[in-house]
Formats: sequence, structure tokens, C-alpha cells
Amino acid sequence: MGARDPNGIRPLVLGTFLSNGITRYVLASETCALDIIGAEYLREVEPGELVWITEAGLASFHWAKKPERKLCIFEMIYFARPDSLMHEETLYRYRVRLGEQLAKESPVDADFVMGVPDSGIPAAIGYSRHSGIPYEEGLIKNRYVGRTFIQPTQTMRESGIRMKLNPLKDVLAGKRAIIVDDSIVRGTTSRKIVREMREAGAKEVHMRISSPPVTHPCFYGIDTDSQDQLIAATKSVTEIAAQLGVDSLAYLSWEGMLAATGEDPNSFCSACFTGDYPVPVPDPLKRAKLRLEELAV
Amino acid sequence: MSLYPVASPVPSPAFVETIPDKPEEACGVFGLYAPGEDVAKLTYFGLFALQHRGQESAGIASFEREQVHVYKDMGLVSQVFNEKILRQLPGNLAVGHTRYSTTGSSVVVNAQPAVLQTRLGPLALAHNGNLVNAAQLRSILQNHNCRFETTTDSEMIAVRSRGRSTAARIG
Ligand code: SF4
Repeated sequence: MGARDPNGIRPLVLGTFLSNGITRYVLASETCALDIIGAEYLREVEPGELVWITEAGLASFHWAKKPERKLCIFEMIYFARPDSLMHEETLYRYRVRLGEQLAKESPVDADFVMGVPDSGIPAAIGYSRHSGIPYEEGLIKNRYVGRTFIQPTQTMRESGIRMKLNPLKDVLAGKRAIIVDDSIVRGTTSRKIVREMREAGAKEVHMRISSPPVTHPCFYGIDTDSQDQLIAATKSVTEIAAQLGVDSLAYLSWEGMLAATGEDPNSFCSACFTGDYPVPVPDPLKRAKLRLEELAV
Repeated sequence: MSLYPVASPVPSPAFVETIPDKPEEACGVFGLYAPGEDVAKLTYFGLFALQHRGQESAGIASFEREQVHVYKDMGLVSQVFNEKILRQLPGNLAVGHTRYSTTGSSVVVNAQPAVLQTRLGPLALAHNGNLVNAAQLRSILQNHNCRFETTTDSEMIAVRSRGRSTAARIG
């Protein structure tokens, strides 16, 4: 039995595969989990739908009185794997379009465009494509280790992010770089990345973010920090640029992010960018995370 | 410098520094019904592909008629399971879960699937998301003499569905 909430905030998809000549059904958060077992993507479970899978096959019930689609836009921008399908296309393609839109909205002259691996890369490709500025790899991610529970040494820790991301000196030295990332939450990693790029000799660092500033916490299953830890909740874009140590900083517009989906803009939750929560959040819960706002009860 | 205990893969504050400051995904869920197939193994690979949605704990529950088998632990999918464990999860139907805790702390009892005995048989639940009305729900259910084994909000869905269904729930 699989059920999706009436707003379909988190994704849930349905796939099929043949087993001894019989069609069997699979449920998964994303289509990439169907691909790995050789199942075919059939469709998504609709917001407010319940599917019942038995020997007889698939039965579907619509249990919610008023389903209203509010897919988490962050699934599209960052969470879900780029090879997963949403709205019948891979998220890679959506993220490339975000980068194209970003280049349209916030152009800047530079020698090359690079992305923060891995999540910033599709948007960096889009930015490069639209601006005509060549794409380069300026940071390499160590893809061969998962999380390690061995603590780094003090010296390693001071040198920052190199365990995960290693800058390419001969690409960066003496160059003006545009670095694209999908989002900034607290800004701590972004600052380290900029410092590493400068140390590797980058002459100018222009940061472009393929989503709007994150100003509000999430109450629907995503662990963004409480509001006081979100850098964009208290600082202007100019102040953030100064804190990150970049020559320029620009975020994608909220309209641009939604337009690039090609879907009805009302069919998404984007509360962490706007504070406009589609499902009412009880006050005690709100108070715990929304530390900066007077609560209008 | 202190050594990190192997049994508790919860990042220390110092280690958190090296994790990118991105919002963390809540959970990944997977489930299938396929008699004659190795459902636990297929679920394992499904969870393996969904690892990015939660790296804190992983679990699989399989159903063999009325009997439910479940295995869950803290850690990555590939750290929690091996061939031997998967062989102990026979059945026609399985559900799996990868978790990044959003409510309830990072301990094994809060790993999913949550398995409960109901009037109509066992129920295993794999849930992705937060219940915004968790606090109210919990007190309503407690007033109805429902007992909880965990501190997560997901368990309340399972408790709420008690006596209503016998199958595995996912979503
Ligand atoms: S608040 Fe943001 S992260 Fe949370 S569901 Fe809405 S869009 Fe997604």
C-alpha cells in the first residue's frame, strides 16, 4: 500500500517490471530507484492518492477531499538525483535551464564558468551555454569515499574542505571565474570554497546561485536549520557577498526558478524562499524554528 | 584527539564542519510486491539508489504471509546490510527506508520501517516527511491509550492505522 499526502510535497513514483511473465509493481521516492532494479517508470502516485498492490495487480483510491499539488521545489533544485524523472524529464535538464535563466538574469564577464560539484554542475553548464563563456572544472570532488568517521587532523581541519573538494590550481590561477551553486543555506561551505579558489590563484570570483535566497525554515521533512542560522534571513545579498569574499554574487529570481519548471507555478511549495507555507504549521513548531519573526497568531 | 566509537556513526560537531551546508533530505522510501523474486535484495538496491535522501539509518521489512521480518540499523545502506542479513528477509513483499532524522533523535529504535502488530496482522511503515500536527496527534493517540515505542512522528501513522490494514505502507 502506498499513499501520498494531499499536497504531494514529497515525491512518490510507481514502476513496473515483469517477473515470470507477470507484471509486478514497485513504489519508490524517485525513478532512479526503479532504474537500478530494471523496472520501468509508470507514473507518479498522485497527491492524495493511495495505491494498493496485491496479487490481483494495482488498485487506486483517491482519499483526500481536496488534493492540491505542492511539490517541494527544493526536490527539483537540489535534493532529488539529477537522473530522476519529474514532469517527464530528468532533473538534469531542469537544472540546466535554471543555469540558462541565471545567465540571462545576472550576466558577468569572466574567463570561464565552473560548478560546485556535484549539485551545482548542471546549472553551471546551463550558465555557460547561455552566456557563451566556456565551462571548466575548477574543483574535483572525491567521489570514491562515502562518509568517513575518522576525524581529520587539526591541520587538515584548518585547511578546510579539501577532503571532499580539491581545487585545480592550473585552471584557476590568474583567471576570472564564475562559480555556480544550487543554493546557499548557512554559507559556511561557500566561504571555504571561495577561499580555496583564491588560494589557488583565482583573480576574480563571481558566485551565481541557481535558486533564490533561503530565508525561511522548512517544516515538511527537510532539515534546513532554524531561521537564525540561514544566512539570507538576516543579511542582504551585498552583505552575503562580503561575508563570502566574492567579487559579485547573484541569486536566481523566484519567478525564474518557477518559470523554468514549465509547470503551473502554483503547483509547488517554495516556502523556504517566501515564508508562504502551503500546509498550516502549528505555532509551537513554528516558534521553535522561526526565531526572527513576530508570529501573527 | 579522541577515537570515534564505531557503533555510533553520528557526526561529531567537528566533523559536521566537513559536511556541505546544504539542507538535508528527509527520507527515501521503496517497496514492492513480487512473489518468486528476492524482494529484500531488490529493496536493498532500491535503497542504495536512494542513499542521497538519508544517510543516517536504513531498514528493510519483508512479509512472508502473516509473518514479518525486519532489519534496521544506523549507517549507510551498504554498511547496514550484507548478503547474510538479506537472506534472513524472505517473503513476497518488502518495504525499505533510508532516513535522515527530522524529528526524533538519531537512535536505532527510530530507524524505519516501523513494525507494529495490528488486529489484522503486522504492519510495516516507511514514511518520508514530517507530520506538522505531530504534537497534537501524539496526545490524541495517547488519550486513546496508544503506546509508542519511538519518538518519531512516523510511528503515529502506523499507530493510527492499527486495525485498519494488514499490508505494508509506504509514502
Ligand atoms: S519549505 Fe522549501 S524545502 Fe520545505 S517543502 Fe517547501 S520548498 Fe521544500
